[in-house]
Amino acid sequence: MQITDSTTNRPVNFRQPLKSLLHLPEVTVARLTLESYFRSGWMWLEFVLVLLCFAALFFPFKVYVSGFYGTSNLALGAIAILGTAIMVRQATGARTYVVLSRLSSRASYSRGLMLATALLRLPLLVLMLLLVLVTGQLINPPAGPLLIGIIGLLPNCIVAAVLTVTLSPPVATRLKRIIFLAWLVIVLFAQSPVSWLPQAVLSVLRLASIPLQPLIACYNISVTGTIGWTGAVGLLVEVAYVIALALLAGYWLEKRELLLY
Amino acid sequence: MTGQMDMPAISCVDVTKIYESGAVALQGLTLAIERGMSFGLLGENGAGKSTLVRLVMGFLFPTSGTLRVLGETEVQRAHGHVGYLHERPYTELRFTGFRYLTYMAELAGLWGVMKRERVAAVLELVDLSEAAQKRMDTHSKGMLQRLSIAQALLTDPELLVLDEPTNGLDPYSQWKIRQILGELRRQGKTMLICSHYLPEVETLCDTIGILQYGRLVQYGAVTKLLHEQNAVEIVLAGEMLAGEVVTRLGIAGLVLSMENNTLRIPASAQDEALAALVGAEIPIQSLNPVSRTLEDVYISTTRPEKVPIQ
Repeated sequence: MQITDSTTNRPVNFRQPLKSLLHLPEVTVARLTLESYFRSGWMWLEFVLVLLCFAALFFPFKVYVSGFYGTSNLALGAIAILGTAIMVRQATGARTYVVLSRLSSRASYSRGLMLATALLRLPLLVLMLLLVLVTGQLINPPAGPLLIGIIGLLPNCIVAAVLTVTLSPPVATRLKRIIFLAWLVIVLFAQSPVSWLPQAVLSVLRLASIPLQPLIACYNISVTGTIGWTGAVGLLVEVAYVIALALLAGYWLEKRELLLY
Repeated sequence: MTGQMDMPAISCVDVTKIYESGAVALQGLTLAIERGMSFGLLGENGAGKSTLVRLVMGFLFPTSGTLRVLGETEVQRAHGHVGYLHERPYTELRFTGFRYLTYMAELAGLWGVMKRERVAAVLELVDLSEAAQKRMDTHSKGMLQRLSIAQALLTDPELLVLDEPTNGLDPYSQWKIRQILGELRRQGKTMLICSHYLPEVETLCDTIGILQYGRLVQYGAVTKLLHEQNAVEIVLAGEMLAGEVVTRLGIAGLVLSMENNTLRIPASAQDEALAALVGAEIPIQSLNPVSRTLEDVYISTTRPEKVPIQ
């Protein structure tokens, strides 16, 4: 069956927009970064870490799907942060000057790095899933919650990875990283059960954890295997986070002076 | 870009660059590199050459002043028309040369047949067609540098910014790169070449600028600077010794140096010295301007106290 354009009565060419998309500099930067990361050998570290996590967290015990996704959220999130930090470090040396000299906007570079690390999250998640399925470590794995769990886990890993690109040098300054870490400290402190501060102060400090709610919603999707309206909102906000972080990182990188070594 | 064809390829007006550390890299630099010009930028380490190149490429921003590249104040917009060679051949060493150039071509917006043709053409130009499928970590430094030049030429750019194009290369690679750049110069490409190799700049550039402590202390056409007659050499005829003649005529104050039958005098004192010699009927074999090398120009500009003749 051929789909035609009602105004021109010509067959709709779906290949052209796809070609334009694949020809975006961001996509080329992502391909270049991934191939470089692969050839450097560092990419294997992420796969090895997945194997280690599987061996340490799931191989000794059988787990339910909820337990698997609950633990995987933390494990794959940590791998996303570590792997992305290495990838960005690898991709922002003096040789980056030549790549940047080919781009009319530095934002394409930061977006390409984000795309590269986001794309890498999927095979790592699939590997972890395959490992627990093939070795039979999941107790009565129902297909529905298993698939829905991916919808919750993957966005969280992508947000962690994209945030890491945004906060890595040369995109963010040291001051920006310190501000982010200070915020993180406040969030953790406010959640701490041993806080000695008055309840009113803690309530105010807990407001700082509001930006984490979408991540919690997605975590709940992966653990419960159901989306619900809070999950849907959480997913949408995470998409907005990724877009906002891509724009912010691009803006910061455009404005920064680059002294790369 | 077409409406800005009458503008210089690179124009700096009162450009100052002060780093966050407080180091002043450039001070009130005003410079115009016209289209078609092959411009050599000279200066000692820390003079501000690399800073200027990074400003031109948009990696740094001026603290004050205006910088335009191919008419663009946001210089990154001109990147499609600029070829850049970094001072060291940093590349993705684990890639083959062909793969690396393919990526660079795609980043530059070249796809399909055009990409394949350009990659093949630049590899041919730098004599690396046969080595293109080998990983770059097997390449010599000279081959890497030629590959970097191929990268810079991928888009057939209007402006080439070349930072130390032959730094640390073997004689063949240096010669090969000079051949390539010479050909590009004949084609009328605008080139900004930063180099420490003065004979190379003398050969490849028609205009030079010398930076010192962030200031442009010399600027001009190479031929003019080399033949600037600030001294002349007078060779006396016969067996006459210059020392005796100078003493007899009392013109020691005019003379810069003398040796056997030759004396050197400032061009400004040429008439007075000649009048004295002719008046005393002393035969002169020849009178020539003292021609200088670029090295003489460089040293006399940056270290005038070290130069015997000025």
